[in-house]
This record gives sequence, structure tokens and C-alpha cells, in this order.
Amino acid sequence: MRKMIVNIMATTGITLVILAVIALLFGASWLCITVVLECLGANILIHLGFLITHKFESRYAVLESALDIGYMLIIIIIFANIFDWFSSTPLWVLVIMTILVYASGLLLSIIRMREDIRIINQLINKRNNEVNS
Amino acid sequence: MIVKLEQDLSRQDIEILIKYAKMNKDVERIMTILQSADTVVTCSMDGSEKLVNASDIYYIESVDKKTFVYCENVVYRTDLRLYQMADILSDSGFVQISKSCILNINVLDLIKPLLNSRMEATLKNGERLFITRKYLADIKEALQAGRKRL
Repeated sequence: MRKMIVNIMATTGITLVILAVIALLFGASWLCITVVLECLGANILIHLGFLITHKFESRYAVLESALDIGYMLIIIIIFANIFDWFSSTPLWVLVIMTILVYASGLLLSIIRMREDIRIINQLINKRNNEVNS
Repeated sequence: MIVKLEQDLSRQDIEILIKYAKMNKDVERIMTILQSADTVVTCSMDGSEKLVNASDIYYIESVDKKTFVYCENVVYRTDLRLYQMADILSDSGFVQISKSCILNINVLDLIKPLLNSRMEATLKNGERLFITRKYLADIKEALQAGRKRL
């Protein structure tokens, strides 16, 4: 649960940074406070959905990523319709944002995974050394 | 660590006594190894049944709802389902590494990351298995704790 809350906060932060960068590129100078909460809501729903989509395992990581991105896009389109995001942001920008947020999250996850692998290999070496000594 | 062996011809079974000042990871690991040496699983090969010691099992994989037990050089089949095997072997150093595979942590030699955000485990006999990212924390915990319930 704690990990999930941390992940929701992290991806909400990434979403807002990417949103701010894209808004700047489009010449905007401010973000509505409500957008922050809408992003948080979308991220909560996305992470809750991941509890189901992550039950699917495939030999091909690309299929799992495609499922995650597809699900994220569905949530984003639903939120865009409810909160009228399309009036300020075209669909293709939302799609690019979704992919950028997913890629950023994946990158962070890979960095954490590599650190875990380093620790695991250290533990295995320690075990093997103890057995051999 | 002092290891004492004592022969007693009147004994029917092996008795192991572990004396320790404080329960720690080392004591837990010794218990895991001893428990795995004492746990047997009924398997079959070419129509004949065989009792396989848990410590001889490298990993167990479920393929098309059939459960296969992989030892160093030999593969058996078992009628038990993967979750049942996981339950039996929970105290013997086995940990889930993917939806369809549980691994004996004592035969794990190395884990390396792959390019597609996946991981590959190399076992002591050189075999390689895919690891799903979500089970990585369990593997780490199992190695740190000495033993881990599945």
C-alpha cells in the first residue's frame, strides 16, 4: 500500500512536470489548481488499474507495456471528456504525454530494478563465499 | 560455527540440535537448508513414482496446467499444482520468480538485467530462467531473511 502511494505521488509529479513543459512549449503561463487534483485522480485510477493489468504476464515485455499504455490512454480520454481537457489540449498531445509519463516511470523502475539486482548478487556472492569457506 | 557429528547405533532417525545465543539470519538459513533436506515431494517419471528431496529440486514450472519439477539433470512431473508445491516448499527456501515458476533460492548463481526491462536468473547448473520484475523484491527478501514464506 505504501509503495503504491509513493508510486502515485511520483507519477503525479512526473505528469505535472511534463504537463508544465508542454504547456510552456504551447505558450501557456499558468496551470489551474484543479488540474493538479485531476492529474492526481487520474494517476490514482491508473495505479488501481495496474493492480489488474499487472496480473497479465507475457514473455514479451512489449505486450505488457502496450496493455499498460492502452489502459492509461483509456483513463486519460475518460478524464479528458469529463474535465474538458480537449478544449485546451489536442488528443495527440495527451497521447504523447501519456507515453512520456509511462517511459519516465519505466526508466525509474529500471534504475530501481538494477539496484535491487546489484544487492541480490551481492547477497548470493556472500552466501557462496560462506559455503565455500 | 562448530559442527559435531556423533554416531549412535541405537537411533532410528537423525537428530539435529542447533545451539545458538541469538536467532539471526545464519540460524534461519541453516534451518531452511535442514528443512529442505527433510522435505520430499512425490514425482513421477516414465510411469514410476519417485520421492524427490526438496534440496535436489532446482525449480518448478507450470506449463499448460502441468507441473514439472526440474533437478540438476533430470525432469519429473508431479500431479500437484504449482500453488500446492509452493505451499509444501514454503519453508525450504523456494521463492516465486514468475507466475509459472518457483525457484530454489539455494541454487541461484546470478541475476542479470536484460535490455527489455526483464531479468534472467542463472542457476548453478548453468540453466537460465526469466524473472518477472514484481517478484524481485521477494527474492531479495528471501535472500536477506534466510527464509521466506511464499
